[in-house]
Amino acid sequence: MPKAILIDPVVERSRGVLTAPEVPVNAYDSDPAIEAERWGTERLVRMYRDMAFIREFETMLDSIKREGTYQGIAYNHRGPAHLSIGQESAVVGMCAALDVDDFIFGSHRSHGEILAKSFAAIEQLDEPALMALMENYLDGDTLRAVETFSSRDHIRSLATDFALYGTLAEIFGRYAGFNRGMGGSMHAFFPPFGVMPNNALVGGSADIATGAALFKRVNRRPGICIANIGDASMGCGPVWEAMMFAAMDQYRTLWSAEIGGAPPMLFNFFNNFYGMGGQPRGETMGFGMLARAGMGVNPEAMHVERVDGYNPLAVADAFARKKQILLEGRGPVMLDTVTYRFSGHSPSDASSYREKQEIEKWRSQDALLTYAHYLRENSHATDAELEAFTLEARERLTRVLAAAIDDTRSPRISVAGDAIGDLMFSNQQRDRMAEGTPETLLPLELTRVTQTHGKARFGIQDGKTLSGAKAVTYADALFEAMIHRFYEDPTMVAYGEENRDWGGAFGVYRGLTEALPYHRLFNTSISEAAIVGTAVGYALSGGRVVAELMYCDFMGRAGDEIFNQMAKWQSMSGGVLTMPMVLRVSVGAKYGAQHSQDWSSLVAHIPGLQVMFPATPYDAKGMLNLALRGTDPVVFFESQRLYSEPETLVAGGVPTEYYEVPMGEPVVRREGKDLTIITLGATLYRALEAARTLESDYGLSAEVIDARFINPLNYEPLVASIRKTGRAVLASDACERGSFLHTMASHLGTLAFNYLDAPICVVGAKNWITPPAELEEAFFPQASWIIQTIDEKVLPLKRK
Amino acid sequence: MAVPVIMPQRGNAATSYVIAAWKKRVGDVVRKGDVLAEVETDKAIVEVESPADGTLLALFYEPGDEAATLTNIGAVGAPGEDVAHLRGAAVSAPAEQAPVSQAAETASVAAGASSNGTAISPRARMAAASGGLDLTGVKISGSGPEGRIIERDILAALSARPPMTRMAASQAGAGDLPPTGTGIGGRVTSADIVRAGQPAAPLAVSSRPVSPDDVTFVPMKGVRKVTAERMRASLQSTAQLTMVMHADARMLKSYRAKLKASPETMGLRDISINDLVLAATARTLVDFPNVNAMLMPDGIYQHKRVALGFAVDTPRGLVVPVIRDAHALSLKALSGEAKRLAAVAQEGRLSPEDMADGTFTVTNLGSFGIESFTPVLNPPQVAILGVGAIHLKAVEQGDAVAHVPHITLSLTIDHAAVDGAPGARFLAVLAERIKHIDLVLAQ
Repeated sequence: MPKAILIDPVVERSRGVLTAPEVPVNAYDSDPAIEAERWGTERLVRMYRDMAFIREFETMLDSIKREGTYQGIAYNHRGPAHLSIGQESAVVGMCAALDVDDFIFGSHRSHGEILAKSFAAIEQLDEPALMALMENYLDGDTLRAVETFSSRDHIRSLATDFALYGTLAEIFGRYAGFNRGMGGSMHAFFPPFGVMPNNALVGGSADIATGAALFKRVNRRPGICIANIGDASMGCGPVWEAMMFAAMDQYRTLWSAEIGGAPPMLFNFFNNFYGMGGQPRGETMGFGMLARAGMGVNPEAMHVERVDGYNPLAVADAFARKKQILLEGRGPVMLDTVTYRFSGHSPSDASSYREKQEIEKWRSQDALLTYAHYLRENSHATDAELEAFTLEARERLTRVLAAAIDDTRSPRISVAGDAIGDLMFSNQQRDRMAEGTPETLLPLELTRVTQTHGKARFGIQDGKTLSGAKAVTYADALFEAMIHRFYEDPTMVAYGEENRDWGGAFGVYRGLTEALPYHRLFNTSISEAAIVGTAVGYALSGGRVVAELMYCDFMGRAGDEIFNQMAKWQSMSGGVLTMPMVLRVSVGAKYGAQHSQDWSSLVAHIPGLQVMFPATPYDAKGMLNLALRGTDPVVFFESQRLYSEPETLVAGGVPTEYYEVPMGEPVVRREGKDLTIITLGATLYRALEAARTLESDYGLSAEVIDARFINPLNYEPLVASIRKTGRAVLASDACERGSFLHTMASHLGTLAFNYLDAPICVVGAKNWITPPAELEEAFFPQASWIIQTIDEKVLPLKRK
Repeated sequence: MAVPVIMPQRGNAATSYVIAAWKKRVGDVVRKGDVLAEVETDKAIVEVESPADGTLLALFYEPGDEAATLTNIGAVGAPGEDVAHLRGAAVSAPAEQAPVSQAAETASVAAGASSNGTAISPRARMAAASGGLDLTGVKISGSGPEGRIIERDILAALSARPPMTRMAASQAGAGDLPPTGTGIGGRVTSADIVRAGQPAAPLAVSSRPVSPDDVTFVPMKGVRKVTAERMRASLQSTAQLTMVMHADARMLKSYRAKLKASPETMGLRDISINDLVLAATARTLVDFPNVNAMLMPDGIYQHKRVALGFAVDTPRGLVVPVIRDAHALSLKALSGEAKRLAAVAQEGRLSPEDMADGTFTVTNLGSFGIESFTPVLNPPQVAILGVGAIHLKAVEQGDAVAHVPHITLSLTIDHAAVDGAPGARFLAVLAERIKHIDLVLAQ
């Protein structure tokens, strides 16, 4: 809602007709002479070679899956293999137009994309660079395995074997695979060649690739980003959200022209006409032709075209043209790339949903046949030369397969220790994700930080609690952490709904609008999936990002992005990626059932997320500082009950200077000897109220501990307290059933069993929807509930 | 109605006797008081009489069989009566004599609850274990939710018991315990627990029966017990040598007389002869660190400061409180501290600290008229001074013989640490200083 854009009723209400640009459909005109000149014989023939290699690679997997053998080598591959036999020309044509700097993000069916992009990169990189890259990747583990059957004498040949082996070993879940075997068939990738994460969620790459494109634009990195997703993914909300995000007007209307316009984002739909067995055209969608969807996104209709994916040269031409548009900042672009898979969705697929006749029709137009014919007809290659490629592929793959299934050369990750556990987090501390001067609009001392520094740092003076106007609040403390990192890390961006101008719905970012240019702090479409998904893409590309969800309850809108993407890419990459991303989640109150639930327990269940929930201004700043210097994905919960509260618990208040709260450490807010109350979030204050009543009315001395972390969480101080008191009550605003506090109680019950004088009890919100604000006291845990629980289940109380 | 013939009980200890012979046969008509059987106890043959007039209806045991005391061994009644229900039954009246089902008790404990079936928290169970409270058969009412026994209930039960040694605690169970024990500080020891389960009558050492009227039993406990252990250990572990010397006591007596006559406001009137001896001893010991010493396993620790123990006779027995830095105290202060400690000792309220770490001990039996004696060392101290009565000693004065009051000093040393000559030198110097006590006090 920038004031710069005036909404004029006269304009908005005037009559007119909306037209859309014409969408070219298979408009490429093949001219062999021009093509020969444009690409040269060598590249034209290499395209065929790459297609033949990919065809043989997928044929090998098909044989392994269906018959358990390839070229006499037996192997049982338990995992998946979604093959792309029939789609080779499309991926090879695409990669012919791309550079190493261009990133492709794929799907569950992306073996061909990995190989095509790798083969292209191998030709584009010089040999020393290739060698260095192979030597450095995964500490040289992949290269060592490859060198058991391939020689350094021919570096490009070695690199070809490296790409084949790294991909296959990854598919087979081997430690020397491209991602330590943790990604597998559907997620294998290799960033040094611009092959970015392939995603097993349909359409999952759309918003992640958009985030990577944002990273490239904001940080002025070369290249474009492509989401290679299927035609069926057009039915996925996050794909549309990503397109909305990529097409926002502000890149050209509000961002500085110097940034370069829209993120260079290309949504490429490999349109093979099937989503598993469902048929988007004619059955499950209504677009008639997929390319039509582009017309609904922006006035340029996303420069959309339908491209004949069975002609690699048509595809190469389209990508080359679209890349230019993107580099000029005129994106996003959509392509409807027609192709067809001969193989089933997976080896278990009997293709019961399609006629054999249909497959035969496509087979008769198989690009390997038609393109071979083209090369022959135009004298680029002979039959024998072309056939030799298939033989070469077979020979290479026989060696690659033997190495990839050999448990000595290709062991799996050790599960004896906690090696997989060690991959869950990168655990680095980095002040900045890249060198450079952070782009700002004001010197730090002229920003709002001067104002917050001038406030009282502790909220109690002469026994009276100061108002948020006089003392630093929880929201101010978050602001101080944010602006500190903004002025340290040039890559850092923050966005979400109402982040700019308004300063966030709760004013945390107030003052940042004046301090930061648009491209570092901006408003997004109401697209929670894209807000989180693009942040994932931004972070895994190497930038620090803070995404915001206005209400905790909106996490459902970003479920896949939080649970499958943000949480898992570090470990699924085998430690190749870092995820310096903080997701600020504001836990509501007073707004009823869909705006007032504490969902911290949901993310507690997901491996790969760090989860923090500060309850005081001191912790708000110290924990956000901690989160913003790490390289791991953090879900950072904040309580709307606390934004305007000053610090009343930590003596000395909120320091003006930089500090961090130690990772995973709970804090004792009140010492006691008879009973331990452990809280998460704003319930702390009700627990303290309960503790005061227990002391004054019942002579019971309660220790109150603020866990403040969910993961990691050091249980030792909690156990130590229970060893002392023998009793514990756990309380938070999360609904009782399924609350993370039950996990905590279970651990504590195990760790401190002999010291317990009573069962560990959990006090949570009622297992209801959140009722109207007027009834919240019947829903959220109150001090009296804690006391009642103690009396009934822990220690019958006697009034003093 | 048929009446049972009951195996009698003689004495508390017996649990069963042997049927020696039946004197009647089934079917015989018997009168109340007729001898029905002879049974053999551990001490004698006892006759079992018929409990009623009637017919002997049944005999439940054969001669030579062993039958529990207070069980039915036969039945007397009208001919034809059914007596099956009397077979093997026990007398119901003294219920506590009924056989206890050990198995049932064990089972309830194994089930994880206390013996009375109530729940108990792990922390309470741990507190019971560390306090040595055996929960078997314990009647503790739980104050937790739904009557769960929680830690505070165990702590209350533990604090209601007399203090115990660890060993005793582990054996104590919930049975009757003596209110105080014979261990240190009145702690109940395992021996006390065994004793508590036995008859209160004195243990007969002699084989002859002893009447309780003739003997008073004094349990070895408290101070008595400690003293016994210490004294025996002292004599067994040290090489004791006692030497005796007499010190001219004229100045001692006249100084004491002066103190007694001093103005009351000066607060000197209560200073005793013993206080003067203590002062002289403390100040002399400073010059004899070899006597003011402790013999420890690793060697001798000679002390520069004097922690002077002095023996006090109390109703509970002999105790030895310690005056810290006795050498540095004025006579008045020394006397005051001795009086204070003696009073505390009489009340039985000395703390272990009051009695710990003395470097030398003085014991005075002079008030009883004892001239000299051989005091027993208080290890690890290496010397103890026994002070005897003041008596007249014939002393050569020129050609005449004068009778001069002297006080006897008996010094026992541990020859393992101190030789005779150094001990004698100390005693001689001490005697000389007592003789000139006024000058010593002037120092």
